[in-house]
Amino acid sequence: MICDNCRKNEATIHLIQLNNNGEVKKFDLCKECAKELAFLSDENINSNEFAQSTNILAIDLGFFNDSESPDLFNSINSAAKENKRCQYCNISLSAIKKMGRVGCPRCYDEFKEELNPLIKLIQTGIEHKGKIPINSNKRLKIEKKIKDLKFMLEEQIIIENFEEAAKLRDKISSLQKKLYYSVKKIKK
Amino acid sequence: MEENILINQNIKNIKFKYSNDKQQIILNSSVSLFRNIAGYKFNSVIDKNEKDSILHLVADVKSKISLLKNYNFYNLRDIPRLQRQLLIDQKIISGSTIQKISGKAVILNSNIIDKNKLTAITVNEDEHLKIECIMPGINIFSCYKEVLKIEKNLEKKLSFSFNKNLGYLTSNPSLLGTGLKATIVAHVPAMVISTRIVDFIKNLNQTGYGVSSFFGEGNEIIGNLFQISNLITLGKNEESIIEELTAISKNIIEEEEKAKEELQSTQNFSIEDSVYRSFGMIKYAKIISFEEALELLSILKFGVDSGIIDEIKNFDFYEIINLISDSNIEINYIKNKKATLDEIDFIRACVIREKLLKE
Repeated sequence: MICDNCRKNEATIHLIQLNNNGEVKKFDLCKECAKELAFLSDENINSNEFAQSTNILAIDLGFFNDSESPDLFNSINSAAKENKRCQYCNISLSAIKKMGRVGCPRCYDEFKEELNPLIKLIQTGIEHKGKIPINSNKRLKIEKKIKDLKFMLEEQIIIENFEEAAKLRDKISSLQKKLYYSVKKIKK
Repeated sequence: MEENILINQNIKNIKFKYSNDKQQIILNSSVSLFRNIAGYKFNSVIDKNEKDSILHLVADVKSKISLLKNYNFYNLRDIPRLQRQLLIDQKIISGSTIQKISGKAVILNSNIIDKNKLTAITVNEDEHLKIECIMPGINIFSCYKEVLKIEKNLEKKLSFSFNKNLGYLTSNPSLLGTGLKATIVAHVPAMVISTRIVDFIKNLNQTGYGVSSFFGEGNEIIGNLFQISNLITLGKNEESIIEELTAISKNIIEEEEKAKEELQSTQNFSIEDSVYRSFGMIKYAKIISFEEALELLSILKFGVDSGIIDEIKNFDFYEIINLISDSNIEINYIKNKKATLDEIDFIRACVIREKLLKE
């Protein structure tokens, strides 16, 4: 079997992903390409660490995106991406990968493309459902309230308490109106 | 130094007080909230000056909060080695080397009236702030209420890094969102002996909860002690994490009871042998290391709870394992002299005999 990346060498490393729909994504690599794409040294590739870093490799290859095929060019150019730095704290993407930590709050925006798939992998998504700080601005508080009410609405519908559900729906729409008008004000 | 005594008392006096689980299957619960102060880099890249500013800022804010008036602010480098070791044993701080203590501090309750609760705010460990509360038994919600109270007070004077989508921001992506880590420590000898634990761990991993050994590193399990905590902090709200872990705790108790019944239903000479061999060891061994002690006490506890051995009356497992750590023995029995490891192990053996074999 030939390596999918260089199309020259024999592929000895095979990445297979089976997702819930029963779809199978397969990617075959030779040792050299795997080393390059996952930024590993000679010794790492033979150790257990390689198994762990295949997750990172898989992300580079777009395994966890919902796109149909992994963007090969994306990965080939990732050597350049590795030197991308956060303009606020100056940390490089490769340092983030190495440490497993970001440098400052803004890193999550600066490296949105690269980090969001990773976050989706280790958490259950990228939508915060917990509490918000008490000194959040009004808008955020209203949005949070709407989120909570929507959740309660779903619960009431499931237990078929439609009267309560209607009340909640009315509350939600009045809050949404409030939000719309406050946004309009800002835009003016 | 007066401060020494206060920290010491604080930590060693976590006495076990229980209403619902006499068999001490869930030993303790803890909840930690991780927060970072807005406008500062994270501790992964921060320099010494910024670290010091954070220390000063937090110390200043702490002094203005009436809820924390009985708490003291300690720079880690000002805490004596033994007391630091106590904090490490409780997993409140992570290490004792110079690199690991510079620029860090801990805020501890020096009011020792409440012996059933240990609350600490660590500054500049992995994140800027970790607000943590530990209580015996299944008390996850109470721990959460405690840390929430403190967080609310801090929030009035500090701004935390927060983002609408990713929630509270942390340098470690596995702490994003709620920034909440809830943990329970379980003692499950029957599940280990009957190997029920294997399936249990597999199932738990699939629901977003991680199991690891409480003492010992990697795959090494010592004393049948496990800690279970949530792996997911983003995409769930705080209440559901706490409810889930509470349900898991109750499930663990059920499984352990079932495993015990299974083992009791058939005569098992090798188990009885292990129990009595452990009994022989604690009765006669002159030196016992900490790891060995945990193993012996675990099997003995199992033996007592299963009615296999009646030479020992029901004993407070949680109290003893806290009492016999290296640091606790040094503090309580060796005071200010330098002690060799053998001396510590010798005293440990005596302490265990005293606690278990008293008439």
